[in-house]
Amino acid sequence: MEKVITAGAIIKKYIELRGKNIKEVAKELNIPYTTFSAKLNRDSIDVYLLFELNSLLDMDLNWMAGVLDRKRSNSTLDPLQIPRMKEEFRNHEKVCIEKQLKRIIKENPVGVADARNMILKEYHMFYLLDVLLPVDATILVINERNKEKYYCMNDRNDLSSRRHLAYSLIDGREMIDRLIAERK
Amino acid sequence: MKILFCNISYMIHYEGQTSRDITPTGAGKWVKENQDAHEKWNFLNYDGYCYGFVQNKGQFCIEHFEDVEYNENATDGVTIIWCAPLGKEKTVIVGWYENAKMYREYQYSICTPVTGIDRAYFSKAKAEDCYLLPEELRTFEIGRASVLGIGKGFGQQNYWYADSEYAKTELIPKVLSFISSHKKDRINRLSDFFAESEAANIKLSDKEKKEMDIYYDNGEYDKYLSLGYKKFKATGSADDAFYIAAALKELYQFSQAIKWYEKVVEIEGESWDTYGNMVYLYEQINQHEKAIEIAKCLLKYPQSKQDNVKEELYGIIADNEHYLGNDEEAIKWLDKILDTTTNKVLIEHTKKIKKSWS
Repeated sequence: MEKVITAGAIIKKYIELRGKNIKEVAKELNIPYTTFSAKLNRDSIDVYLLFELNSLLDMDLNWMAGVLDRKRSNSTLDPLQIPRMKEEFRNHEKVCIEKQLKRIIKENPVGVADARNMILKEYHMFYLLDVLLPVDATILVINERNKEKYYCMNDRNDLSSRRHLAYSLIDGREMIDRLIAERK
Repeated sequence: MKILFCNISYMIHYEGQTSRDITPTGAGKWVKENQDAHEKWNFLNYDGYCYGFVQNKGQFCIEHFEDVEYNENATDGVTIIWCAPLGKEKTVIVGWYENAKMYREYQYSICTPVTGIDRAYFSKAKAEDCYLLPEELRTFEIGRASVLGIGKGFGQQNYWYADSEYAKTELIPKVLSFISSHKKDRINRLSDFFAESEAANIKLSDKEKKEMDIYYDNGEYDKYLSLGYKKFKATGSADDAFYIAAALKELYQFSQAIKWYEKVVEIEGESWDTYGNMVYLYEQINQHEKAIEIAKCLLKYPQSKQDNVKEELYGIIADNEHYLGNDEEAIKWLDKILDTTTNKVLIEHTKKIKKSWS
């Protein structure tokens, strides 16, 4: 997946997941290849085409909506929960990401921070977290003044003196550091 | 003189398990098995103070110090000498606190969902009174009583009052001389590191403009901060003040963060995101009336119509009323949570808290 996540980029991934290519899909939709390719690259898929593509590719539109909606402004009081991708998509992406991680860790045998910064140049943080974290983990985003910050929800249930939602937020970067450290 | 020697695990910076530090080593089986140690934060500048931890199973018998009574809960003016094992063979001084407050019992930090660290401590000193040595200067050895003899080093406990004749007449004078000669060498961050400096008046270069976004996005707030001040000097914008406030919050400088969020309010007026941070920060720095005021203000925003947000705000008000000693009022707000929520974990937790406050 490209670092900048758009509807077009997600659709390309689904095309790959379904074992097709862009030319084949364009033919099935009866759209010239160059037109369809341009729409994907410029992220200018309209909603009607999206529904057609969904019929063809069986995409997870709920996940897509959640992922693309994450830029909506919110605050520490109302962090936005990003829906998790479906298992087949995760398994497909995990192969590639784990391979990349292995390469990066080999290039950075000591430093975790350097490895983290390198992998984040290639993949968006929430995407990495979605692929690498267990299915029951929760990913939250706080988008304040166009700065996104990602958090993972701990499974800690011991609220002790805290009174509300059963979580303590783990910074997304820290979580990626832990995931890298596990693989060293 | 009140002096306490403490034996903790070995790290470089003691600011938490950050990427620039090593995993804690030494000082016990638990540290080895968990590759973690609570003392990892002992030299973190936490809103202008350092908070110290050493493993202890019972109370700290502060009446060991002269003029401290059995019924006192804390004492001031303690010098705490932090020692850690260097390899398997020796224990060395890694740093010290001066003018520390030492408590009989462990104290626990306030911690909100977005600020603070859930931690225990038994000592506290101003960051300016804390001295952490660089590795190459961690050369002064403190021995063990089992090797050198009774009263000449650490015993079974991880702390030692050093009140033997040997310690008073021989060891402590040498230690005081050593630490006095190395005050200038400390590597821990003082509060002026986080403050705006004269350098803010220098214009941002094009290179710095590119770098600052990278630093912020990578969570390198310490590198971002000085550039953030420069940018604000040039723009005076609410957004730039907001980013400075957020960076300070991430660097545990809560009091300074609040001042910058207040600046955002001065520039653009109240907003959901600014107040949403301030409400936690006021709680963090024990300004509970302000936290309650802001929480009640936030209840008027459309975003608080969402149940989980409303419940969170009720919870913030309840907590802060409790901190102020107003448990009757606090319980009224817990009841509001119970009237609203369908979240079973929250219901169970709220009932538990209500019982403990009744």
